[in-house]
Amino acid sequence: MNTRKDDKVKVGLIINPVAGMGGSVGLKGTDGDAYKKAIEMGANPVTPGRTRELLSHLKNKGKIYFLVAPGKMGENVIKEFDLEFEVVGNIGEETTPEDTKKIARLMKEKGIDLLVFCGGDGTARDICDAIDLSIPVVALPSGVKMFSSVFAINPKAAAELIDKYINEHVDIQENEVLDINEDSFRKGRLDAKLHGYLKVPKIQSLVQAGKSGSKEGRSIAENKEEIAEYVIEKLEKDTLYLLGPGTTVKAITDHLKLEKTLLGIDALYNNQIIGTDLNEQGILDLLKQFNKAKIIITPIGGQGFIFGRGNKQLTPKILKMVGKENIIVISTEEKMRELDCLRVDTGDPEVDEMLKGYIRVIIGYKEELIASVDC
Amino acid sequence: MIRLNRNEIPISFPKRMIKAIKNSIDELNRYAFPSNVEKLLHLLSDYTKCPKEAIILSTASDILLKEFIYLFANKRQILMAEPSFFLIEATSRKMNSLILKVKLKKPHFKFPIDSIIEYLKKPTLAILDNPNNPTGSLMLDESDVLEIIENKNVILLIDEAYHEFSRASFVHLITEYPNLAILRTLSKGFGLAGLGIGYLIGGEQIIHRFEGISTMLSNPNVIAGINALNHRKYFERKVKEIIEEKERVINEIKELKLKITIFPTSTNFILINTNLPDIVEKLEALGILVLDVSSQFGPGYIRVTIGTREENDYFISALKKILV
Repeated sequence: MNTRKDDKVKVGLIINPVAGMGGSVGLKGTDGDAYKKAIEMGANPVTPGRTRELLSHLKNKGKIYFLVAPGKMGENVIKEFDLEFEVVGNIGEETTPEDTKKIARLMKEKGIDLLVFCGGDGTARDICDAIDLSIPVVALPSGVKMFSSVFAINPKAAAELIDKYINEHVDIQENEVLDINEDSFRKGRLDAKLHGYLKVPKIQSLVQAGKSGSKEGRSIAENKEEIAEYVIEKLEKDTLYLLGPGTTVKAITDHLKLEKTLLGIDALYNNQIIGTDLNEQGILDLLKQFNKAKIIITPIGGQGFIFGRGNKQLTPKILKMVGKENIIVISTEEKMRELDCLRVDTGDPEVDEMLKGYIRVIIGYKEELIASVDC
Repeated sequence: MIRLNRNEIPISFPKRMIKAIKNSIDELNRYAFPSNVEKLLHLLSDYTKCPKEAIILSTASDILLKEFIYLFANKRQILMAEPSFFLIEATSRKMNSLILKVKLKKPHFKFPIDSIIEYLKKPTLAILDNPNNPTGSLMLDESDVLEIIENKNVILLIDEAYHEFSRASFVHLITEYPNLAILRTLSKGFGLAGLGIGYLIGGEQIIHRFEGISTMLSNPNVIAGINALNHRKYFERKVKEIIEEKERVINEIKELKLKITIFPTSTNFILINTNLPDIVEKLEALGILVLDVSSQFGPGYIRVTIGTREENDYFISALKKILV
């Protein structure tokens, strides 16, 4: 971890001033001009209060040098606290997603070690567009839509993450950022696409060995490596593998020293990539060419969807053709521990029914978890 | 420090028992006398209603658990609950076997027997702790156990470490099912964590595999075990008191109306979701040690042993202080 500025950790802070305003007045978000409607309906900003709560819970204040966005995007809140900071960037009277992205990129150039932002899925998407997987983030939940799995539980938990990051008691994992269609959401439908990933610190979960008190643990990266090794050992010759999105799946192709799209469906055949970022038609064309096909996927999002979130290219037609017995689910043990079950939402009730029941999830080298599909 | 993290029971022992153990210290240079070992086996046979030939002894049930896995895992997949007692997974990982974990779901953490039926056709070593640690749940009933051991491909070891609290046991099935073994200990219900005796009960097929590898027992441990079993009524009373105290603690915590979840338990410990990621550190700062099980369930989960009344009251007040 870089520590500069007199051995202090450089932490960026960006607040989305409009995120979460829709909630109290019953709007399903503040994307686009929706926030103007929220203001007309009497909504008040939510994010400043949440950020104040986070800052008040920080224990390692003396070890942090903040780079903060100007005015209502951060400066106005942080100056209430006895914290060392500088203001980065410029904004106008009204702020836009472009301001978030511009300032995040500026902070990245200035060498921040960690970026803290306060907002919802929309803000997470903007941050993702700006910094991708370059810098870990702590996301303070304050939106109406918070389906992405990047968010801390609450301001206290977010503060704890920052403190633990500073003391280097964290693993870093890549969590999904989802793109929720707000119009569909307003109509009661959850239409989610996988937008990208952000690096998120996770407090090291050590397996405490009961009576002896000794501890052992494997990092998330080690876990992914083990899964990749095991899957590769089981790969069959002359079989088409449709590889779903996600870093756990990508670890397989990384191990094979192949390029894979992070968010798309790629095709693997006899250890070669033969198709990238495939749509439904592209997949169907390949299925026609090969006798045997399997799908390798990982749960997307905090609710454990294996189909229906972030991999809609794997349509019900394709899933019927491949069959449940040829679906290989892989996941880090960390993710599976926090899920009660896996879920499906393919859009076709018959296919959803086909997928329900129990499925084996590869969670390590020669280690599988029998999990139920659909709670 | 108040230790509520290791499932030790808060107990004082009968004076006669202490005296007998103290006397055995005079002969620390001796392994356990064969006559005492025979006495202990006889008492355990009476306690379990199983023939003494079906019982293997050790100074800790953990040792028997590890030996069982080493002896029976070869060429078998290993099946266990998730979560379960840490040593089951930790030892299984040392073997070159496929590990199949079966997820237990909140809030009752019952074993979903229908999820594994098809996998029992392959040679399998199933290690299931009942009650389960760290959930405290009685995850198996007799029909589940029968469903598993009806498969001749399967060897099933049920760890009944907390049997004295749950009163649930499948030891009566041993004579009919040679592929079943039961693991027990005197460390919990008889309070002998410091001078452990663990024992395995199994049919001839299983006991036979342990031949030639049994190790000498320690004399004070055997004396402690004999005296504990000779004072069965005393320990049964103590267990009853602990169970009553557990109910009191659960009710008092519920009355605080905190935003926490207490899971049903058939043991001397409680699984709690406090929803507070740093709860373990906060309790430690107040002088209370609990088991951090966040790695198995997520942030905020703890396993709390039932201690003395004073210890429990202090814990309850600490929870109130931290969470209100």
